[in-house]
Amino acid sequence: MFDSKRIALLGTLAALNSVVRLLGAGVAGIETAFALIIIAGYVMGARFGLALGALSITTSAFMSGGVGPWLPFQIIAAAIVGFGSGLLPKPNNMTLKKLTMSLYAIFAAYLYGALMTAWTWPLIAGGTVLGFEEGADAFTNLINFFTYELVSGGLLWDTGRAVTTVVLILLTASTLTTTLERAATRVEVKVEL
Amino acid sequence: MNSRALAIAKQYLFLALLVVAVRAGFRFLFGGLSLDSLWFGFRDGVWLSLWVLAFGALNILFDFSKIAGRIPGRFGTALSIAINLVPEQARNIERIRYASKLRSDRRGLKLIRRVIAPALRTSVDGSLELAASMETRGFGKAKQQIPMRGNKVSFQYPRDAKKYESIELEAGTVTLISGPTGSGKSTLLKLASGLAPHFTGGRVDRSTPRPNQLARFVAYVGQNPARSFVAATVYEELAFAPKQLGLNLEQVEQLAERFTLTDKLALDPRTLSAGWQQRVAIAASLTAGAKTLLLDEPFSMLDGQGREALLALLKLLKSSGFAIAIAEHRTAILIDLADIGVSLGESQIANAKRLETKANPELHKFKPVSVSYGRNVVFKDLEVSIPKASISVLTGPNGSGKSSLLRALAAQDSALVPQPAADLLFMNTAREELEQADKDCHLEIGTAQKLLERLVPNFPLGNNPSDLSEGQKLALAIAIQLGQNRPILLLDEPTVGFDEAAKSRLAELLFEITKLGKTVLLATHDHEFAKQISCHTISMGGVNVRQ
Repeated sequence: MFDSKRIALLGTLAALNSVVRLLGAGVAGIETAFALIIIAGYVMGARFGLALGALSITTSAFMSGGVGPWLPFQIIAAAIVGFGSGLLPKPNNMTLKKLTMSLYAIFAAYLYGALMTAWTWPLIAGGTVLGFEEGADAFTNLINFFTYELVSGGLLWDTGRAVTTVVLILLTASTLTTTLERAATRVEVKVEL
Repeated sequence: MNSRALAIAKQYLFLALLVVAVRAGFRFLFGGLSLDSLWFGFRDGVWLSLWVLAFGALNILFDFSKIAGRIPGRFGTALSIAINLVPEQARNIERIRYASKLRSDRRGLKLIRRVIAPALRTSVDGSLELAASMETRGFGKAKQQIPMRGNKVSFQYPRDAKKYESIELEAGTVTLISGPTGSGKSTLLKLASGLAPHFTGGRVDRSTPRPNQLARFVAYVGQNPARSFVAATVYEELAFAPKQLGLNLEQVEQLAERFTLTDKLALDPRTLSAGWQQRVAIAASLTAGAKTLLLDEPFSMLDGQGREALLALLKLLKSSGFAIAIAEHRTAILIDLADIGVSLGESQIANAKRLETKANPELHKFKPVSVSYGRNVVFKDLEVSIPKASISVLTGPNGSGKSSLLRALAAQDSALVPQPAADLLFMNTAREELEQADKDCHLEIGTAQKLLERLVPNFPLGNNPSDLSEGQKLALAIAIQLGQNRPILLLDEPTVGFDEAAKSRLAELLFEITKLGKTVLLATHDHEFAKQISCHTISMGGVNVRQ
């Protein structure tokens, strides 16, 4: 599955993506790395998307000194986003493809946000009415979590991520999918006996 | 303290303060509005921020990007490639951003597609070349190595679809494979290294060995050595093949010495000059012990000095018993070195017309231009004038400032086609590109297409830009750039990757353009082409410019 061609493509795209990510870094809510992870996962398949998500985040963290306890969470969350993209239905029409990816991008942006909040939530909101309550039922804790997301501005951040990703997908998906589909056909070589 | 450490320190200090403020704020607002809860929150926040600061310190003291190369396994290699390619990708994006500004002065969101589409296309092409270099050096799970008998390598290739011909490479000889682009020179070498059909598509027989099964016997260096590097240093690059194949690293030191690379072992191969990159790529292909060396157009990226050095190196390898095959359309260079010549296809070289120039041409005078990198002044108040409605050439070795001069002149009502011209292309078909060009210049749809059809009859307008030949990409880029109706056309190294036939077609094309009343100035280090195409030459050597 991961032969030299895929490994080289993976490394090259992760490098491109971390440059793209660092270009957008610093502006609140702007996250430019997701569009390529989603588009590449969509075209090249779930396993490729998973690997690209994980590698993109690792590369940009290694390059910018962003290694910390959050890194494993970021890697796992981005890998899930890439994996999910590979499982999406693939209609024949480009507009429908864009729509599918955009809807998924919105879902993925909030999913990523929720996964990232999940581990900071007990640390920041512990001991408050918005924190995790031991022994309380799941529903109460979910409400607490959601309120915390709302109050802490996490949802605002996720919305920024969703908007940037959708805009990037709408603008670039048609050319990028064509380029990657062509790459995919060059990567596969049919074995005839 | 260096700038990296400073940037990280700032980032983490900000994060630490944020953590304290947020934790204290939350505890105070939602955990009972009392001084006590503010204090608890503050205390927790300080604890958390100490953790944050500890990780900041770790990142400053320990550069994680340096350990990427030591992570084993395929994904370790992918991570190492990614980290080593980041600076190059940043440069690519910068270059493409410049190119897209040449095409139109759109800003903001629309610019994203114009940058990201060519960047992705370049990445995909580059990754395939990189994969070829990795696999010919043994990357991947090779079931077994396929040994060669004796000191002869022979392989067959189909000619005229049915007839197979066999070529033998003998130890201590150089075989020159010549022929125009498209005649199958590269394919021949790829067959010999196992890259065809595994990397080119087509029918794969179960018995066809993969490139990594031949790694210990056949060494291959592609057209673009700069795109073949995996590792962060020259040493790691040379050690890549033996590590993949589980061989010992003795060869590395020996080959480094033989290739006079000993003082460059700690450097990043991507930062070396084209000549040294070529040398590193050849050395890296041989560290697995191969005695057969296949080189695809090794002279195309080199200037005069680089060519001499490569010739000397090849002579040395030949005398120490290597069997060498070189695909090259510049046969003159190798005439002394080659023992055997294989010529593929009929050469359709039509000599380019030497263009007539008027006795006293009217001159186009550019305003004086200056270029400097930081404090280093390349040239100052340089005055350039070229004859109108004809072709002029800017020559000089690599790095003499030709591109910088063109960039400076591009600001003066001129259309510049950068190298590579594909940087300008971001749509799915050539026709869409031309329509976009018309839209950008507020022209009637079809204007650019008419121009292109006049320059190149029967242009395949429905093709994806990646399917066009280098010559067609260039013609398309020229049509797009001329749509802006500027009187001057500037071309940066337009002949890179062109064979003689493509060059003479380019000469015809440029001649057609001058007939439209346009003035052409092109930068090239290809002296033969420069001599063919123009009488008016500006040569740049180092800092001095003479006309």
